[in-house]
Amino acid sequence: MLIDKPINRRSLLKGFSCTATASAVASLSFGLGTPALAQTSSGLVIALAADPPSLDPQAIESSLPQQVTWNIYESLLTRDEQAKIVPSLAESFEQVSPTIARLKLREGVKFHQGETFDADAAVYSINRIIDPDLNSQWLGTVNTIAGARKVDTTTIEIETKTADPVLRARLCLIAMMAPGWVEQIGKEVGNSANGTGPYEFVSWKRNLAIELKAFNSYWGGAPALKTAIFRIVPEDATRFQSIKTGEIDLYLGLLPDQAAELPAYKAGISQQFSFLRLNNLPGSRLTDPRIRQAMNLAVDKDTIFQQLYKGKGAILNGQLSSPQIFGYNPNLQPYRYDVEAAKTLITQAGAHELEITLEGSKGRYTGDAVEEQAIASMLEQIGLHVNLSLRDPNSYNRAGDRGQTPAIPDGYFMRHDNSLFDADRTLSGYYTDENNTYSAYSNAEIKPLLQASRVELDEKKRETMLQEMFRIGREDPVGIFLLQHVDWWGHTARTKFEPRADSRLYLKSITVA
Amino acid sequence: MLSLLKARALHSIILIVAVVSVVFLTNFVIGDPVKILLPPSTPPEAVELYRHNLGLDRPILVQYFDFMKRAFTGDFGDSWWQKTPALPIALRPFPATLELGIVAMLFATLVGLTVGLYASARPRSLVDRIATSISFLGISSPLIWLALMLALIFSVKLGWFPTSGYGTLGHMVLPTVALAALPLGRIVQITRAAMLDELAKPYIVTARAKGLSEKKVFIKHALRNALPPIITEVGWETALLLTGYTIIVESVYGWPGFGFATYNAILTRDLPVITALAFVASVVVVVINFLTDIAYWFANPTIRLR
Repeated sequence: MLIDKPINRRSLLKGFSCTATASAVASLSFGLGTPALAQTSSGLVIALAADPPSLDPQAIESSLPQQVTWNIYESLLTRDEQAKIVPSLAESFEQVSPTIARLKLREGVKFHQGETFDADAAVYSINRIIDPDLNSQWLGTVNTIAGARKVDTTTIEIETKTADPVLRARLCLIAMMAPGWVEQIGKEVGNSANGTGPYEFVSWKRNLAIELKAFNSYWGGAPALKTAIFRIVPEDATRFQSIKTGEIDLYLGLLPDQAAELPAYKAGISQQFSFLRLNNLPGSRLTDPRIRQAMNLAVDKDTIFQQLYKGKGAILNGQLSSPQIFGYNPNLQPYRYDVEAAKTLITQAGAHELEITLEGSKGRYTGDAVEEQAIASMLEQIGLHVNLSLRDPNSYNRAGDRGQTPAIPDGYFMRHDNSLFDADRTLSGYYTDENNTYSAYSNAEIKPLLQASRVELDEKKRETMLQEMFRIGREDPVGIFLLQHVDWWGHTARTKFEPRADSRLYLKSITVA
Repeated sequence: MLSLLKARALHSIILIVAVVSVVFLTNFVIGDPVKILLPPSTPPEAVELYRHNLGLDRPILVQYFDFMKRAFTGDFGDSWWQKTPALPIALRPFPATLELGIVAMLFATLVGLTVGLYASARPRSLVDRIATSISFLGISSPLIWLALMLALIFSVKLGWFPTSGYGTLGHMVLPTVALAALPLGRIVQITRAAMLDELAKPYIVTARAKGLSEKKVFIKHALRNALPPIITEVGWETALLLTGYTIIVESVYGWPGFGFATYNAILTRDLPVITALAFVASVVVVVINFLTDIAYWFANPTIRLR
């Protein structure tokens, strides 16, 4: 192959270096010229891990959009910093009969786009969220309500299907919406927002950013923070970098290991509990409570708590509950860590060498795989043979659902979120196998007690019942009780922020220096 | 010619229908979609009501044919989360992806061609070896690693560009580079290989013997004949970039385009939007294939005579 010396070398080299230099210079100058690196001076920038699927506060129940919507929308009752129920758009609540509650509404409140908040709006909002045609994801929370009706312009009555002691807690989760606006905007209701809250909706560029600004006529007084932008930053690593460069001021979802590298962070107590759900249904291997007690004694919760979670949060004391939740039993103790006692119980129950299958997740929660493997090996120490399956999110979800998998695993690692702040959510969901599909536990004493508690309007009596059920669920263990978790918030030094017990992000309480 | 076009159109329609069907049916294999949409505390009656309202309690074949019937009229249903029609939701982010994709492909093609030509003009030289090595780097880097590394170095450490977002040209640089890396590598390689192939052919010897300048031999003869495989590769990479690489790169950089929308739709298991996005993606691929064929047709005279 004869190749002459290529005279075109020079021209090619010229061409190449021209292209390269031009591109580089162009990019550099554009990059250096960008104002995006400068901090927005008067506004707060929050990073969200995903674009909210919708801003309709009554349709979507997932927690991410709620970081935005609870600044725009409000409910009749709400919770304070200690998670106690306090008035919000309703000034008073009175149970006039077992199934009817009367509420007096706050006067002088307007929606951002001008409509007045009155009994018509309140009745409309409540009837809307329970309407089957809305397909609300809140149905599980609000379906005890039969309907609402207007008494006069500032008074409404809410009727429940049976006596419902949890109604006040439910009302904290139902957003008030403007009837005229909702009817007129039709299907687009999820693409913008119009509420009574301290912040109003400015714009939403899909998959990019949601902008809010202070509502100066807010009935509770104009908030200090004037503008806020929620930017969509899906990558964990990118969110983390963005705090360091100052492009983002605040985000939820910091990893405990990274916390030290950030200018500031907060770990706020949340109502998320981790536990290993155990299967004691007839025919299972764990029907003998001694085996499950032994499993509780076998786990060194303290080490996990300190090593994986840096001591942030709390160790559950034998119940899936916390002091912030109504029905919490303050007299219960966590199972101590006692391998010898555990082994004894195992022997007594004749469960030595018992083979059990545990299903868990990986990558779904912070440190989940590590924690699950640690616990599995602790159970091996007391003489059980553990088959641990760590699954991807999809098959993990299916494995825990009795409706989707015929073979119920002996143990299923899960996290329970109680945003209702009432023990009923936990007890109905996990302390019985009736009317739910995610539990694998049945106890003959709890069932009638639970039914009675759901219609018991006397607070003291009901609290006793709830505490009793938690006690029973500890002696005849529902599962291995692990930890109460925290919300990890990363933020910049200029952001003055305190996390709330209800995990909500309230812009009105945040300031930037 | 017309019959060719007709056959082509039919073929494309079958392809699009097949892709959308597979995507639609796969959604039922990976678990109960209703359970994903609802919180675990939802009581079973509420779950069944939800399922009924979405039409998901009907037999799968019934759902499939009903869906196909409506899809042919452009109705992919309403997004399960946003409650508004799915097809507009799928189309809306596309311009942002086009912005990124066109710039990335232009960059990749221009630079790739230049480097590949230079390497083929001086085979086994130092420049050639460097060019080949870099092309391999571009091809074998995992895209998500590359995207994150670029952000780490140029945004965090050096502060030259923002870490994510959209709006200024500065936001565009890193995603463009990340997207262009793989196509660049491939185009360098194919250009070099195609050119070396051509340069080895007998007619090149003839041309040189006739006294033509090296430049003419190289560009007017060898390159012209080497174009068809290069064009095919560029077309292929463009299709792959617009419908595939953008899913990763846009998600890392928070670029509000088609790829990011796909990622979100899949995460939230929003079937109507997922199928609408699959439809848009397959249309894009079909269109690009068609344009590539036209360019190929122009570049390769021998085919024209048929």
